[in-house]
Amino acid sequence: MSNSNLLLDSLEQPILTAKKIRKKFGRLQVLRSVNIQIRQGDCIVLTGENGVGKSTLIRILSGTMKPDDYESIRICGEELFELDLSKKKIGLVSHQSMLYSDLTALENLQFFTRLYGVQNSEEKIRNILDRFGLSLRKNDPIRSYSRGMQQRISISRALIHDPELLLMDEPFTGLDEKGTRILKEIILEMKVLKKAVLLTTHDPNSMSEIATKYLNLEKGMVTGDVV
Amino acid sequence: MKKFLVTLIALIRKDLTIERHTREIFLVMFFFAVSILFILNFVLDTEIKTRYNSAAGLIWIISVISGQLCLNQIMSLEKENDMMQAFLAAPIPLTAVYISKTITCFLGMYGMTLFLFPLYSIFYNVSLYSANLLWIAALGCWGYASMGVIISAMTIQTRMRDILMPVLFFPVIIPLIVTVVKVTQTSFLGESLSSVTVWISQLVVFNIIFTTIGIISFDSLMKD
Repeated sequence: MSNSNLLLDSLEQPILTAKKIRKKFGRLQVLRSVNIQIRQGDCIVLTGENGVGKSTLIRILSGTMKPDDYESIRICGEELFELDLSKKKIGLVSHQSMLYSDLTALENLQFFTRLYGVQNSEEKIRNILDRFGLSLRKNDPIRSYSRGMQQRISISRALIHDPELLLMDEPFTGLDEKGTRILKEIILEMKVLKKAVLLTTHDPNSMSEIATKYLNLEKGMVTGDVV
Repeated sequence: MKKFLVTLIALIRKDLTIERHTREIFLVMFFFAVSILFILNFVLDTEIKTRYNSAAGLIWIISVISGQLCLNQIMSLEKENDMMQAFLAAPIPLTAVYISKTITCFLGMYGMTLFLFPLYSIFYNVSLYSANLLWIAALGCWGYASMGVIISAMTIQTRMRDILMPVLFFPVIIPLIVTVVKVTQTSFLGESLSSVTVWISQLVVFNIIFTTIGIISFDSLMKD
């Protein structure tokens, strides 16, 4: 790690700090003692083989799965599992779209703005639909969308409440070239705004233009370097 | 409290919007109820007194099974695309999800039960009108929905959900159904409800217990 990077790391405030996370499924110890810190402006790319526990780690950090044991998981200084409101600072893109197939894209986004208490929701929905090129189909039910379009709406859903930290599990799956470019632009903007992103991918090479740090999950432990 | 109410309204509104788009719950419950009443019309004794005596039991059996269909549909909405994970990721009290599901299921079942009373009267040529039925049916349906949502949430992630749900749920709900049938029957026969005060109290207590269990346990049930 270079001196300038060390200096930058120390200047930016941590958005997420997780210490000693352990998770077991049956006899399989998936996460042994995972420590991770995500700072403002970070875009961390998490790599690892299939079944190594990347999705489990994302789920735990998003507060949707409880670890078996942990010392602390703090989002902007607040304990994640003690204060539900800290979840407002997290946006989550999962393997599943987390959208209602029978509702339209517009109705889905309206529903999530209500859950997250988003102000000026109509304007934000309009902007994000425009950005992902889905305005013309906003009144179509999600079930009529292609996989890539569903992924675009799923990412819009995760961004609609303007989170400090975006957690994404394989976010580029199903996205076409345009969708990929838009998502990379959004990640770069989040970096500039001193927000943070943690994403998993099987193609780390394609992340070189946006990644600030690569972490590798192996045998239940996280290792990695600053780019 | 305001945040809780906003979330609750958003959740109920979402369920009703989906139902408005699909009409799945209404159609399933309606065709089931009408079919069973139609079949029973050929099976039941034609004597008016028998039909009066069996009305409460039959109507509640149909309500209970159509309520089960309603519960299945309402809860399966959240299984698709892992919506439960979306709720866990959101800064909302999960109790609001429980209350919203109970209210939606209650609305479906209560509407169907109120529809069954006049339908039974038409099919079997008996008069079942009583204003008391409005609140008796409300208590029966709320108790059913409040416990049903909890059991349904417990079994939602299991592979044998369709089998497990009635096996776990019906034994728990039997006391409530027996009580509501007794009170409904008394109302049908035009007798004074003061003779069944104990049963009515029991019905109210069941509602309070089931709802309290739901409010207390739903959060940890979902998170664990």
